[in-house]
Amino acid sequence: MSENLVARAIERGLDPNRSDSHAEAAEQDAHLVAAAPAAEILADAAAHHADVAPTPAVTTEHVGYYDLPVVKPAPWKWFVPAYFYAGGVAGASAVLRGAALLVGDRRLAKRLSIISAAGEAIGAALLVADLGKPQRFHHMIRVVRPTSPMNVGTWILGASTLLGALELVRQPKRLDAIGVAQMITGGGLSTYTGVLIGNTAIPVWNRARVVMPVLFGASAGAAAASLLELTGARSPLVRRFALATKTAELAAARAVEARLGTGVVGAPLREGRSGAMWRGARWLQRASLVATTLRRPRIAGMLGTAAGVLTRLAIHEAGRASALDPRATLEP
Amino acid sequence: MSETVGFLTDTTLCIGCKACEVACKQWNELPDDGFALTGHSYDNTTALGASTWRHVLFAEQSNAHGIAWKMMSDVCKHCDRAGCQEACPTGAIVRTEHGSIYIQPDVCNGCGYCIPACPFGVVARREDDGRAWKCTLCYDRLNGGLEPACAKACPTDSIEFGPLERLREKATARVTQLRERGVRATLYGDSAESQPGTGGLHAFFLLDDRPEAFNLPPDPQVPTNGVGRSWLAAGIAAAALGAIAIGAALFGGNE
Repeated sequence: MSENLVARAIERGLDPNRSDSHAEAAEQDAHLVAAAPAAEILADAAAHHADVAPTPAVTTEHVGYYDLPVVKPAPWKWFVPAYFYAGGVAGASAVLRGAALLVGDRRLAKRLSIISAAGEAIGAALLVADLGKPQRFHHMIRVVRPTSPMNVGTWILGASTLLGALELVRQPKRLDAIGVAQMITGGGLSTYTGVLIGNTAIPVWNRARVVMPVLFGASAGAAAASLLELTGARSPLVRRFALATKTAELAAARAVEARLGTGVVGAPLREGRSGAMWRGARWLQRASLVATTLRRPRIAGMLGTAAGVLTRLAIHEAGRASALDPRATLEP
Repeated sequence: MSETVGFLTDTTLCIGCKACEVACKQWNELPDDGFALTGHSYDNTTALGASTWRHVLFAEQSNAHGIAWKMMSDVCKHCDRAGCQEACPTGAIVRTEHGSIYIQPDVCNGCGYCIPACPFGVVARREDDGRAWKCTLCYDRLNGGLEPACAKACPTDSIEFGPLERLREKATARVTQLRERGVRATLYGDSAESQPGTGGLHAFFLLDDRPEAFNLPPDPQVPTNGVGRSWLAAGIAAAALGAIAIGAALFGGNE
């Protein structure tokens, strides 16, 4: 702590407010150890430099207040990033299901409607479980609040879940108005989560607020494609969708990195636990794309599913790291 | 709608007695938040939280005479454009007839979204209770014609409560007075002009140092002020996902 260092500087008889106190300290030390070899004197002086380092210039310039965070991280458990995965898969599956129906691939459409409905049910359960008062989950839908991305998202999830359940029962032969509506709500479901985290005061999320929905959408497509590959859906349609969405996901992730830049705001995606998770997710996705290209769907599905989950966990963890770093809020 | 009221917290008058913290805890019957010693000067509370609605900072700075204390009683800013209120999905967070921002405990379902939505890190969730809590500007006392407990307890009037217009006039006069004495006093969040990102604060501050020294962001922004572009991007991304799906279905044949 800087105040301790200043106190220590005063103990040492130094005036902490004089800019030349470094030099004085070095001089005194050099005098005391005059008999020692020059190299040792220099090393000793350097050590004392470090010891007395935060003299006035540093103390008054230091960022913030005891390096304590300015903003608070989201209090969410792993349920929320898990929902980002489940909801993303459900949304993208609803979109792809419409496309499958369009070309009359009813087997794939049925598989996708099952995945979509399951993802919505699991996702909604995860969200309710994460609430501080789960028994009050329905308070989300007592109002329509366009200013709140979470409220809008709840309505999107609600509509998508209803349509998903309806289509699961109906299983129509071809794409009709309800199927198109499900495609639209599915598209919303897979992208709104980027709006949700982007429009907070968490620096790493907020800076990327425009590219985040694109990353979430592309990643949702890649995750749905990977789940299809993993569960044995074999069709050229799936393969083409997998190639396109995995490529788009890698590009969107690069766009997020570019938007965040090399400064302190983007640090959580480069450093620490969240940085390692993010890099790991990138490599998994690249490997998954290669496996899809090499027609190894089972392996591609495994790698891509892991990438999808890890990407969301990394973004969640990056938000925590970003909130806890006062430099990210105070410096830019 | 009654008069818009708020706080002026003048850091040059704060003596760090923490009477505001204690009065707030007592009146609002807030639970303790542990008894750990932090080593950060006399600040063992460190931040505003679910059960700390007034927090006295002790920023230590060296000057020509040794170490100077900068003390400030921090509080919810009751922003004119409040991130927490705009983010709240249940409508639990409302603006009251006094112009303050209030979390209705009987509506909040503990989603936690208001917490990262606050650019000042004010709101927090009480873990044993599950709901979000923050300063209410003593809503119950205001309705009873009393001033908030912290302002009542403040022995130096570092915390002043009153109609916002009167507080602004008073703050401007005080800044002029302090500057004549050579103090580099500034106002933080006193108006929409000086802090467009929040539309001005209903609890604003008179500072004698940079905002960062008191852990206040220099240019706070309500997080939803760019939400339109975000939604546009989401719409485009969703349409692109649909185009990719349809493209994958229609083009390329069966290989």
